[in-house]
Amino acid sequence: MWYMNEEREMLRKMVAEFAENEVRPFVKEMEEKETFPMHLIKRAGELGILGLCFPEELGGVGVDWINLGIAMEEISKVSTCVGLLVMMTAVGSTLSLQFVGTEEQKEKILKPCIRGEQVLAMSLCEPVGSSNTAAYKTKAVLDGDEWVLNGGKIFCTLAGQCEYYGIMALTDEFNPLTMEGATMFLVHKDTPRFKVGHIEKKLAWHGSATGSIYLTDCRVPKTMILGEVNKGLHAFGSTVMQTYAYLAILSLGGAVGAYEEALRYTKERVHIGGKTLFENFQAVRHRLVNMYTEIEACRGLLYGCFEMMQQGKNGVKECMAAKIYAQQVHESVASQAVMLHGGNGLMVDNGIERYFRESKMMAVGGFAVDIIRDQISMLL
Amino acid sequence: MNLKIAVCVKSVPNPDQFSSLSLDPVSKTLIREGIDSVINPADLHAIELAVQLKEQYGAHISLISMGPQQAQKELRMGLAYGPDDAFLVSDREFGGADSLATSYVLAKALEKAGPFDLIILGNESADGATAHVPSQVGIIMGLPNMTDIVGFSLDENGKTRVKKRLQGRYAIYEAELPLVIGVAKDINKVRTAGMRGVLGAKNKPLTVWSVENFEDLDKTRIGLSGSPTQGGEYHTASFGREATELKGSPEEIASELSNIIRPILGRE
Ligand SMILES: Cc1cc2nc3c(=O)[nH]c(=O)nc-3n(C[C@H](O)[C@H](O)[C@H](O)COP(=O)(O)OP(=O)(O)OC[C@H]3O[C@@H](n4cnc5c(N)ncnc54)[C@H](O)[C@@H]3O)c2cc1C
Repeated sequence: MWYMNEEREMLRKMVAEFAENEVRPFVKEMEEKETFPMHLIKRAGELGILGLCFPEELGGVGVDWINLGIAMEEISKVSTCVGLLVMMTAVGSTLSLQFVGTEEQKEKILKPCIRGEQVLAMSLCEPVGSSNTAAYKTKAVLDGDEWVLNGGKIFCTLAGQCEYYGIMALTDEFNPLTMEGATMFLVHKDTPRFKVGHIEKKLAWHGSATGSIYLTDCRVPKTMILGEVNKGLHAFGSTVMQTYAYLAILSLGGAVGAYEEALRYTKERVHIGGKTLFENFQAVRHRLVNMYTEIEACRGLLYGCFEMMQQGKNGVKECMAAKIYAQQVHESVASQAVMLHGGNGLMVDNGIERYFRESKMMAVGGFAVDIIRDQISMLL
Repeated sequence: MNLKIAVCVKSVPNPDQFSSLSLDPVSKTLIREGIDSVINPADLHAIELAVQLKEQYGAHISLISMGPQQAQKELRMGLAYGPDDAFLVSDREFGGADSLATSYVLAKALEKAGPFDLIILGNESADGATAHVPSQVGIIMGLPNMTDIVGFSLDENGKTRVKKRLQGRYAIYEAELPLVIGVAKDINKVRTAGMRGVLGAKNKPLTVWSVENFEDLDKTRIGLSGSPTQGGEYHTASFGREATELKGSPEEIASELSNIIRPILGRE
């Protein structure tokens, strides 16, 4: 791989060790019992994985976007659910705090997140549709030194697990052209009348709590606005490349995980004439080659995106395209991995169908791929 | 207490890939092509012990290795766990060394980089597995040495308690530093090195020494020519089982089988 070197190989090995020794043994219990793996977030913090893209003064280990990609891929190979939770903390919800957060916000939220002691949700989606910002019912009005929030959110990842929640609320009429009118508030969990509601049962990612949030006259100090008033989507937008690209790497990791399972199985499963599936059937071999090819094409696109970040280039379109393509590859490869396992692929205890279920989550979670298509079309 | 600790590490072919290894029939050395090299697994436990002592008392840890230039990769990896610097002794003239010639060169390197209060080695290597080196290093250096160590602690006065495995039992020794020990894998659980360690490893000093860097090296004791062990003939052991086919009617087969089993069970 063009981006690998001795140091990155060492880093990959260490994260793989964490994923194999600490994440994998926990996946089954997490998925069955819907246990939130906070202890794994803590470990990722201790090991410095959550600090891979933060400078040392914030408690990070120095910024290298490719290093974070490699680490996320290794974790997602084992579980895209744990990958998602690590991703949220390592870059997804925290990075905008680094870019537009105040010193107070960095002390109270960002630094503990990088240490793995806290997680931070970013809740936009409402029943009217995640991309339908103008119709959001959650509103905030200024009263003295505090904003008063009323409304509700759905599908909030990390619901019930956070110290603080990033809540997008309308503070003015929303202008879809300038994307102004919505503000991002950092709301403490103990704010009176702030309530976490129902935690959903989902197709996959059972270790990631997805739930509703209710806000009734919740008073939030002025100092807890992320970025500027009315420019909540801009605060979010400052990290758009990273958000999409590191969601995409979850899919790449998931695809690699499924492919490796399928390769191992077809080389071990003894079939007609005492030969393995792999030895017996060209159809099996070619399917694996197609899976491998899809993965490598995706890898090229995605690590190209990380390199653009590294060079400080604008690659918003590429990162969005990577999110769409990676999900397709994830779904295609996971589906074929199920196929290659035959009946065993469908048996829950074997853990192969999980890859496929997780690929469907990637199509909607972290912005539906169709919404992203719409966003790209505006840039064409 | 500011200890000076040395850990000897060896680069070995990845044990997970041993099934792909083969021997060169002429030189009787391993053909390593296509096989990754890794830090010898027992040596990781030696590093872990050193790092734990460093966390407890403060220490300067040096890694020492004899091997090809590529072993720098394993030393960098070792540095990621927390040691402070590393020394690689690498020269064609050291090649082909048996355990005695290896121990001699390691002892020389330890003298040159030292003096050390504590020298920790993995009890044995995954590829050679002679378990000779820890004691030989100790003997050559004139230091007390112990092998198969599964427990080690140190008090503020520098007194050690060393737990040694002895034929299914344990013996506990009190020993004074300086000391050479060979540690077994049971001694501790190796941590996963953090990202700080990995990214910091490249900035730690790694010195490579060749034959010229040693003034008082006895050249008759190094490399292939300095190795008293000479490889003999080798053959591939067969692990297949002997099988006898029983023929006849089911009754005949059952009776025949019973005749075979009864004497084994001690019944007539
Ligand atoms: C597991 C999970 C976790 C989530 N976590 C979070 C979170 O932490 N924070 C958060 O804010 N949200 C979160 N979401 C919400 C997620 O972003 C939305 O579900 C997703 O963007 C789709 O929005 P929707 O469910 O409202 O569907 P709808 O808006 O009703 O859309 C349905 C479908 O219509 C199409 N569509 C809708 N809008 C457009 C458009 N603008 N352009 C083109 N096509 C469109 C798409 O095909 C879409 O899938 C999460 C969702 C899931 C499933």
